[in-house]
Order: sequence, then structure tokens, then C-alpha cells
Amino acid sequence: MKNCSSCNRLNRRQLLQGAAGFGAMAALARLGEAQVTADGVTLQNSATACIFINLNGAPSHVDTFDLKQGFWTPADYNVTQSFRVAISQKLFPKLSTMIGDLCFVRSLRSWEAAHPRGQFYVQTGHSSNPAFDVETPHIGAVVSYALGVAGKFPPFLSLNGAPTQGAQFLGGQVDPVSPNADPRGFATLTHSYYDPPIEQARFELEYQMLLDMDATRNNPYDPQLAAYAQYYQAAKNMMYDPSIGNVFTLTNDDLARFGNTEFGRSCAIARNAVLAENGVRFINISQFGWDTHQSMLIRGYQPNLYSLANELDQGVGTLIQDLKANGALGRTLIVMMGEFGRTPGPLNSQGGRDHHPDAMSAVLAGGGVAGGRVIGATDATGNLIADFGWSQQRAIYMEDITATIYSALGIDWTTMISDTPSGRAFQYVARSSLYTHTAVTEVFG
Amino acid sequence: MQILHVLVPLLLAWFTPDITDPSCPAYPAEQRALVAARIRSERNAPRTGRANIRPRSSAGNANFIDNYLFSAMDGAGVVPAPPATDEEFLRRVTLDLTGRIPTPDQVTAFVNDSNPAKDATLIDSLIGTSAFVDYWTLYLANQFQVTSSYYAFIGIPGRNQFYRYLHDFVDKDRPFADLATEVITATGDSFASGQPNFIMRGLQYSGPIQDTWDELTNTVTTIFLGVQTQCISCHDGRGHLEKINLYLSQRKRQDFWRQSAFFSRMSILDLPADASNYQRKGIISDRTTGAYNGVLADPANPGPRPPRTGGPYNAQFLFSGQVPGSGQWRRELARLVVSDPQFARATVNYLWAHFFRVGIVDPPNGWDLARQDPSAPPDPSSGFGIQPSNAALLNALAQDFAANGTSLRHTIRLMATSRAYRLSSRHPSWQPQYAFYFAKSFPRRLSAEEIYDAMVQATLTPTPMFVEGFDQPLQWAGQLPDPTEPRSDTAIQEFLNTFGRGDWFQKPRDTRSNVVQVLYLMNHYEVNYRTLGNRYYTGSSLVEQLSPGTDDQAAVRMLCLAALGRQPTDNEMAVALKNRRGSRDDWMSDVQWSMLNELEFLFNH
Repeated sequence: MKNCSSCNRLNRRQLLQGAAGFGAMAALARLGEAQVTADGVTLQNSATACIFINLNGAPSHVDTFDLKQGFWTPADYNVTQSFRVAISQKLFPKLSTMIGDLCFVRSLRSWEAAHPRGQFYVQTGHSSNPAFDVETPHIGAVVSYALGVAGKFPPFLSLNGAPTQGAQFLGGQVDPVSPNADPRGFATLTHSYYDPPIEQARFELEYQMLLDMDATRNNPYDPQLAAYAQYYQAAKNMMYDPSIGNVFTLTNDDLARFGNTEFGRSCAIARNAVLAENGVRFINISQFGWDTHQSMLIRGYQPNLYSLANELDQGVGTLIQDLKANGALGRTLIVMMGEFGRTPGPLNSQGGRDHHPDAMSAVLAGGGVAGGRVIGATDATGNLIADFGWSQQRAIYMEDITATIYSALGIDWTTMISDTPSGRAFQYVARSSLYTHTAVTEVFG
Repeated sequence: MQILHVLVPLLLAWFTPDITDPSCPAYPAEQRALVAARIRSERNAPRTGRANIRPRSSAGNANFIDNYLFSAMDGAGVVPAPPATDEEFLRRVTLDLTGRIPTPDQVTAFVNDSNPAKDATLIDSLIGTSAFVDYWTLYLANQFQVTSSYYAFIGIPGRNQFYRYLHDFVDKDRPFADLATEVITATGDSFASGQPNFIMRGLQYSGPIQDTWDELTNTVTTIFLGVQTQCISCHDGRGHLEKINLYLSQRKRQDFWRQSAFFSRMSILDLPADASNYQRKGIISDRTTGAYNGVLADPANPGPRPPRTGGPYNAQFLFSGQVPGSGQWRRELARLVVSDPQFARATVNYLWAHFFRVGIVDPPNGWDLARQDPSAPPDPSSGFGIQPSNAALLNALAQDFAANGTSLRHTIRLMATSRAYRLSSRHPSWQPQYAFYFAKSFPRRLSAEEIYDAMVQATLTPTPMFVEGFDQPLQWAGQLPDPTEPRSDTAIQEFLNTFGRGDWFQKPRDTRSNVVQVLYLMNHYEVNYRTLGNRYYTGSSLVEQLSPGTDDQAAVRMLCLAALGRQPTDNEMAVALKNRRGSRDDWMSDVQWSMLNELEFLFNH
């Protein structure tokens, strides 16, 4: 008989949350106070939600967050120095003025050099292993599971594409909800085929008719049927609820400020979701196209670095600005990174950069992160890590970033769930024989 | 490898012996119930006795499947569910054979048919349809993970070749052993014929060539033998797999390398196939020399697996110790695979899991070969019992499959015509341990393609889908050659992806439910515009078919037949008529919406 300590903990948590969201309130009350677990692990406990900007395809670190200038640097990069961080104002007109809020991690390294494996790694904090993949959940699902479902909002939102991995064995309640970032809103939260004056009334009538008709749903005679039946009421509860629907409703001003692309709209929705304080815990926003092997500086070629960086800059820059203006940046951790770095120095013969796992960068902001700072450094061209810049005196890996996210959210990242369906332990942060992975507390200042 | 029917909860409950706390909230409710049932039956069922019961024929049994199953039930005092109704059976078998739901005319004709042999007649006619060929091509394409998505390396021309090869195979009912042989030994240009794409699909681009061999080896053992050998591609079984797979716990990584060596004399000339280098094609050939070397050509590029050592390793068949009889190692591999008894056993078990929702060995890609023989059960200290729930039936099915020229169609027909397959999914006195006896039919959620096609069928709203390389537009999702399609219609893609089609690459097919699916079906334009009163072509002959005349009761009956394949219940009729309001079109639209959102619509029950 295996013990089920993690399950018991969840039971208690659910009990607490059953009492009018007491768990969430307690979490808020102690926000910002570091917490020491029974095992002596210090948790930063400085954030209530995380927005993860997944730069899918792997951005060139030497052009973006670890700029290395040389004869290959385009004249129009218009490089500026702020807090001793060199950054292109052409690529990042907004973020280059916000360095004081950003923490650059430059001693980062990936285990992976191919996109599918790299994306699996960056989304889960675990290396893809065929034996474990079916049970390896997305970081956002772990966060949602650990913090529990509280509020009407689904805890894990994924915008601009569903992630590769979802809740896996952690259960459907913490699966990512991945609506389109439609300028007209979350289309299926309303019965929008019909026009507004009648649509809700019509839906209510239809739904009541469905309830009255559907004997199987009312009395499912098999576990497979029961599993699906439980989602009807949850779906109905999300509909016509302004606290849900408004999160996805964008103004023309939003579209103009964030950028009217799927990515820009996703950033605006993320802002709304965080400000709604209605149970959202983790928001994944993907931006695709960073796999710039060729013609990356040719504006007529898609994707090119200018348009990618400008889209990112506008969306995330406005997001940070708005969260800050609303006093929510301090409790919202933002992480921006891709799956690996790109080859440094001059461009390749195709005018692009290839895969380079040896050095890469991440940018963190909010949620207790101290801005205007750089952790670690690479060599003159950005080829290899030259200075680790943190306590462990080794490269930082995604496992460490994962521990940092969990620590900021007050989640004991040393947790292990031993009673998985396969019987193989799932470790929140993968333990490796090479390194003891740990939170990069240096980012918190 | 995923198969159409995979019940994900069972997939997750892969290694049941360790699960001792099914009340743990870490498990989704759906999984918890199934796991609990399995554990209870493990405890209560006479594990070795079950297989020893002699099969007896009895009146009403359709074939030997029934002799084995019902004898086992009798012996254990298990009461089978009553037979399904004609309507239930018609819908079930139409979905399981063709991926479509029956039309109102088909329902009426079948229910009114008084021929006592009408089940078999129906099954034969379904097997003769083009939808059957499409559906079983999809079954195989899903097994072989035919996809042209970026990084899957078979490009659209290669994908079309592979798809057409599989389609032709199903259409002509060719021997499955021939298919296995042809893909394992494939040579030539992957854009010129289908089979080489099986090899190209295993190509691990930018890694050491050993990774490609290892990947193909795992694919071959999984698809054709039901054994996932990837574990021992990285490490010895010992110290890792004792709680997972007894057979593999006794195998070493070197044993895997010797198995993988069967591919080591193969050459893949990998060529860019488009200007942006996103798609690749390959030209496959063989050498008569070479072996599996632990030393990599490029030590700086070790790939994802731990370092290999030693070598060269010569080919040796993992499952029997046999070595190649000639220098043509892939040819020898094909011979050893199709002549191994496990080839037939794994294949019939995959088919069984399609028709009976749970494999006799389950999951069907998780065979433990050390737990198959009821006369030699594993040591109790291992914590394991015999793996198959009915070992004798499994043997009989495998022998029958081999004796009938490894025809998939033969075994499909056998299973579909069995009395056991026709049992109801409702059991008045269900006990969890009955699950091992297949004493009822287990409802399964329809696959994404089936849901879309059922929606189209129920509302008569076919939408043409244009696919590169296909002369005619396709009408059914079940005809799509690849989960990246239809690239011409993102709305249909969204529909299919919402219901868990997967990408057959990184994201497996998933029939679990979630709240977005429910919201989609209730509210999405793609659904609502198809309901009767909402169509821009209201008044067309298609609509006439669904709402004949002006008789409201007749309209409700027709809508129910079209959506759910049965007459409305008294309650459904009463509720529908009670809500008669507004225009007739609007009302019928609402009735149809309700029926499309009934739980029953989404399930094969």
C-alpha cells in the first residue's frame, strides 16, 4: 500500500477552499513573506499568478536579450544602454525603456537542440522521455493542481495555441483552457450564433429543454458517460458571467495598444485575467516563428526578427505597463523564454541563425523579481556561458527556472507525487544525477 | 502508437498492480472508477481458473468468441447484460465499422427487417462500403502516425503515397503480414511509393543514425508485436521495469541494440523536398554489410539517449534469440516478425480493443510476454498475475487470424458478428469484476472525426474539404489523410482539434472530455449554423428530408432518428412538443440542438 500524502494534502486544500475561498485569501495575506517548508526549503511566495511567454522556435539570444554587437549587427538596431543592459531600440522600442522592471538571465542553457524535445522541456521542466511523457504535465497544470481550483475562472489558460502537454494524470480540472484570442471575445461563452437581444434567452430555453430531455446525462450509467456529464454545469456556469466573459472582451483601445494579432490580443486577455482575480493561476502565451534559420533580417521575409520582436515588444511591454499601473505587477510573475539559443557571431549562409543549446536567455519580471538586473553572462560572442552569476556556480537549466516559478507562487517545488497511475514518482522539479536543481533566488534581488 | 478507440484512462492505468488507492483524488473520476473496478476484479477473480474453462457452444452463440466468453461467464457466475436493441446495435456497429452514424432510412429498414440473420447481413453490407475502407485506413494511419507536419519528415507527397498505400491495402483486404513485410523492407523513393514513408516517419533528423534505428525498432515491436521496447533503448530492464513489465525487466540494452541492428544495414538518402527545407523525402536502400555500433559517427551529437558503448552488435531477434539467415537483415526482420506467434496475438488484440473497448491484454501496446501462459504464472512475489483476461480466447483468435491469411477483415467480421459484441451497455446488476468477462459493452466517446462526421450526417450539412493531391473534395473527416488537414478550412480543423484529434506526432489522440468541448458543442457557430432553422439554405431538399410535411411529431421523430439513431422516448417527444413556440423552423432548430447536445450523441454506447 503506497502512502498518498499528496492526495491527503489536496483533500485538506479542497476543504479549505470549500470555505468561501479561504485558501486563496490566506495565500494573499501572506504574500511576500518567504516561507520555509518542513524540509528547510525557502519559498519566495511573492506571486499569485504566472504569465509564461513561450517564444516558440527559440529566439536568437544574441540579437534579443543578450545582445552581442559585431560587424554582423545591422546599423538600424539603434542600440541603447540602460542599467548596463544593451538592447536594440529598433527591435524593442517599449521594453528598452522598461529595463528597470526586467531581470535578464543569461547563464541559461538547454539540454535540447531540437524543437519538439525542446518545447516539451520548456513546457514541463522535464526532458522528454517516452516512458514518462504520458504522465508529465505542463508546468501550468502543476501550478493549478498545487494551488487548487479557486474561483470561477479555469486556473490554467493557454492562449495563442494549446500546449503540447496538458494536465495528464493530474486531472481534467487543471487541463489548459485554450480559447482563441478572438477580437470578438471567447466565442463559445455565449450563444453567439443568435443576436444579442434573444441569444441568452434562447440558450436558456434550449438548455432547459436539453436538461429535460437528456435522460443519460441526468443519470449516466457508466463512468465514461459520467465523466463527460460533469462538464455541462461547469460550462453553463462560465457562460453569461461578466466576470468570465469580460476577460475575453477587448476594446478598440486594447487592440491598438497591445497589437491586433493573436499574440497581442492574448497579452490583453492575460492582463484582464490577472486583474479579475478570479482563480487564474497560470497563463501560457505562445508566440510562434522564432526558428529563424534564414533571412531573419529581411523585412519582406516571414518570419523576420523585426516583426517578431516588435510584436513581442508591443504585447508584453503593454502588459507589464498595465499590470504595473494597476498595482498587479508585484504579484504577477512574467517569464519570457524559448527552448534554446541560436548560433552566435555572423549569420549563417542563409542569413539566419541555427540551434544553439549552450547559451540562451530568459527575461523575468514582476512577482517579486528585482528588475534592472542581469544574472550571469556569456562570452564576447554569446557562444558559451562565461559567468554563472548565481549560487550554484553552474549553468541555469529549465529545471531551475521551474523551481523559481514554483517558489514565487509559494509551491513546494520539492514535492513528489509517488502514487501516479504508472507507479513512477512524478517530481515537480526533475531531480538529476548531475545537479541539484533549485530556485534561482538571485532573481528576487 | 495510438489507436482510434484508446481509452485514455485505461492507458494511464497502464500498470495496474501498483495502484492501490483508487480513491486518491489525484486520479480523474473517470479513471478512478475504472481503476477501482479493475483492482476489485483482480482481487476477486479466479485468475488462473478463468482461462481453464473449456469453451462450450450453445444456442445463440454466433462463433467461437461467444463459446469462450459465455463459458467463462457461466463458470464464474457472471451474468451477461441483455442484448442491445436493434437501434443501439445498428448505431454501434455502423460507428465501429465505418466511423459514421446510420441514416434515418437505415434505422427504419433495419428495425423493420424480420430476417433472423439481419445482423450478419448488415455487417457484410457495412464492410462493403467505401466508408469502411476509409475508416480502417484511418485506423492504420493513426497506428502508423501518418502525418506531414513539420518535423515529421514525410512531406505532403509522401503522406499521400503512404495514405493511398494503406487505403489500397484495406480496400483489397490484403494480408496484414504482407503489409508488415512491405513496410519493414521498404526501399526506393518515398515520394514515389507508400512504404518507404514508414521508414522516413522514423527518421530522427539531426541525431545519430542509431536513434533512427532505435525509433523504428520501437515502432515495429509496438505496432506489430504489441510490445513497447523503448524503455530498454536507454537502459537495461533490471532495476527499472520490475514493477512495469517482467519480460522487459529481464532484457538488457544490448539485447535492444541487437534487435535494432536489423535496421543497421539500411541507407537513407535524405533530400530536401522544398525550397525552405521544411519537408524531406528519402531514398531507402540496403547494404549487405554493417552492424549496430555503439560508437557514434559524431560524438558531439549524441542525441537524446544515454551514451552507447561497445559494438559492433550483430542482429538478433529479441523475442526468440534467432539470428538472420542471410545478409538481408531487414528482410530477415520482416520474416521473424510475421512468423512470431506474437504478431497474430498483438494484431487481434488491437482489433479486440477497438470492438470491446478494452484489450484482452490491456493496454494493447503494453504486452508483458512473461505473463501470458496460464500454466506458468509469474512468481506471486512479483506482484503480477497472468496478463490476459482470457488467455484461451486470445490464443484461439490468433490461430484463427493466422489460419485465415492474416486478413484484418476476417477478424473484424468475426468480432462484429459475435453475440458478445451485441450485448447492451446497460447492465441491470453490474459488478466491477464483470469487466474482465466483457459482460457488457463499454460506452466510448466518439473520436474527433466521428463527432464531426456524425454532426454532418445528423444535420445533412456536408462541407467540401480540399486536400492537396486529392482530385475531389472530401466530405468526411474520416477521409482526411493526416491530422494537419483540412488545411483549406481552419474552422473544421478547430472542430477536430477541440475534440482531441491530436497530431499523431507529439500530441496523441485523446478522447477525454473537457469544458471547452462542451462549450464548443453548445455554442459554436460551426454547430449552430448547421441546425435546421438556421441554415442559409432553409427550404432545400435536404431540409425537407429532416422535416417532412407539417406534422410536428413526425419532425421530432425524424430529428431524433437522424441525430441519435433511434425513435424519441415518450419524454423526449413530450418535452419537444411542450416547447413548441415561435416559428416552426426556430423550434425545430432548438429540438435538433438539444439532441445534438445529448450525451448519447457523443458516445458509442
